[in-house]
Amino acid sequence: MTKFSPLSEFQATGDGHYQLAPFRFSPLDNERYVITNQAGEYSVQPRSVVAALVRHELKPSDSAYSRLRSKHFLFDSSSTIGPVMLATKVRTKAKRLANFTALHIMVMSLRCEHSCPYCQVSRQSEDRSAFDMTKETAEKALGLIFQSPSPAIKIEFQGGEPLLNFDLIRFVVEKAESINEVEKRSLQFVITTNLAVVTNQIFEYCKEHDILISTSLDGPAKLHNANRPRPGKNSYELAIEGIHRARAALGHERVSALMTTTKASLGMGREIIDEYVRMHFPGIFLRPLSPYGFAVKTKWYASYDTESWVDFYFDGLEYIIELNRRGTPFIEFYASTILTKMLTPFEPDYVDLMSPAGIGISAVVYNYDGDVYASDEARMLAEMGDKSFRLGNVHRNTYAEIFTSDALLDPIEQSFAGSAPMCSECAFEPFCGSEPVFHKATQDDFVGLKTRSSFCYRNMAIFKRLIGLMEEDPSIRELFMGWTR
Amino acid sequence: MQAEPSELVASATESFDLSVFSMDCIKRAGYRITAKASVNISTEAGNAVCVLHFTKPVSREDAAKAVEGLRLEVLDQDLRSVVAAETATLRNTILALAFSRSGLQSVD
Repeated sequence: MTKFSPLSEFQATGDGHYQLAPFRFSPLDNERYVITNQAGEYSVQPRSVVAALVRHELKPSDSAYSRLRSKHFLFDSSSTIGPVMLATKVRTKAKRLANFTALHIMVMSLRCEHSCPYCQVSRQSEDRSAFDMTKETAEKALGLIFQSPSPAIKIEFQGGEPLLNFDLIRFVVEKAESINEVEKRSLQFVITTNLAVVTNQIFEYCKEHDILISTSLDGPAKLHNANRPRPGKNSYELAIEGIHRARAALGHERVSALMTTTKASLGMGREIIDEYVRMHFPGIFLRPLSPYGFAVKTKWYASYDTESWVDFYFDGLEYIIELNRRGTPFIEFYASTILTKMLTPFEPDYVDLMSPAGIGISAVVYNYDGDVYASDEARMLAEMGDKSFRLGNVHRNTYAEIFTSDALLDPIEQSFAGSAPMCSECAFEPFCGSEPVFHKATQDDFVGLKTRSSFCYRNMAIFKRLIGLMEEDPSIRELFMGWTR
Repeated sequence: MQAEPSELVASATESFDLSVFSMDCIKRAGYRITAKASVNISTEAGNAVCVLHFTKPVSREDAAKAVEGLRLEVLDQDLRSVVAAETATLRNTILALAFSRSGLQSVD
């Protein structure tokens, strides 16, 4: 007696009649289509199979039939529970919406001793009061933060260089901890810093209060220092030393790093990845420049096109796969986020890849002057003079006024990918996001014409490449399964 | 002998029988090729006549590819319209079922 029933038990035995489930399809290449169901599960099929499915010409004996039925692309007499299962999966994907805002970014100061040409917001200023957040503003912001229904609250300190206003960080951390004695949320702090002005006392404080460190590392010394000028031309040296000190003080896994791709980075993808491997980071987020602030003013954003960045990304991804094959576990984090959406029932809460847009819903920014913005990019856009996503001010507006403001609800409603032109019928929509801030910045419209959207071009290229790689090589699929969170 | 450079064209035309394809499918397909061309659609003797105006002049080969792309897209849109029509009720039922237990709906 075997433990399992024979294969025939699992094969369809229906009468050939089936009901189509709602699904979308888009070309993967000249012959194959990606089809996705309402919950974002996907299958790759020849165009002929998709057409046969739609025309009810698929037979239970066809090899694709059972696979399509198991992923809820069709319902037949043997899958009556299918719609309920699909609804459960849809609900799981949308679960994050009920929690509302988890990430609260507080801009401690716009001052910074770096002068990176791609920076979106920093200011060189001797006048502390002009660009530093005050205690009064921080206290008001905390009052709003704890009105969020989210059971998990992450407060991220940003700048400029937030450590230039470290006294205020201490004030916020201790005040938040005090409030949380009653609130009992899962409370986490992150300081986003270039580590140039960090001291041992600051590390001790971070250890005492369980604060995470997120820093910038653009690659090898020559590239990093060229991208991130500061007095002494030693940004790289300070960052590396700071990473070592932070790890020694806080623990290896408490320190993460982000890179930004500049024109000079394009030919150095593998060296940048090598730098992250050498520094024993578990992975890298290959991140393009954003169309905001100084990156636009200095023309750095326009210094390379999206196609060049995609080539850079694919070469980096190929190299990372090679590294894994050679026994070095290493992750590309953007791919990891997308793969989590593709291969699991869960949403990774990455603001750029959400629909409804993650602005306000998943992350919100309290600027140094008390203005509240729908996302980090939204405050960067405001620095360029476009305050479309300014939701209110901590001193003048209530929680309800801020989070039900037209400045938040209008772009979320208008950009919703489920009803946006092209997105609504795109098979890759469940993996993508609506990104109203990006499209406002680049096309002066919350939705944007997707055929001319570099956001759409970049992400479509990545979605297709990731699925193509998994289809071609089961070992890559297995590797990618391990990258999901 | 040196080959002549391919002749560049600024537009291309394709027609679709409106007794076979809906105007909605043709419009949707036209929208999807706007990266390369804007599409002017008019009707003539039961046909939808699509004139593709390329954003910059292209070779005849590229123009033919763009027209082929439009034809394939119209076929895809036709399939999509069948799926949408057949699954509209079920799609709404699944969404209602999903969100009725999400805790997101108002208690008022």
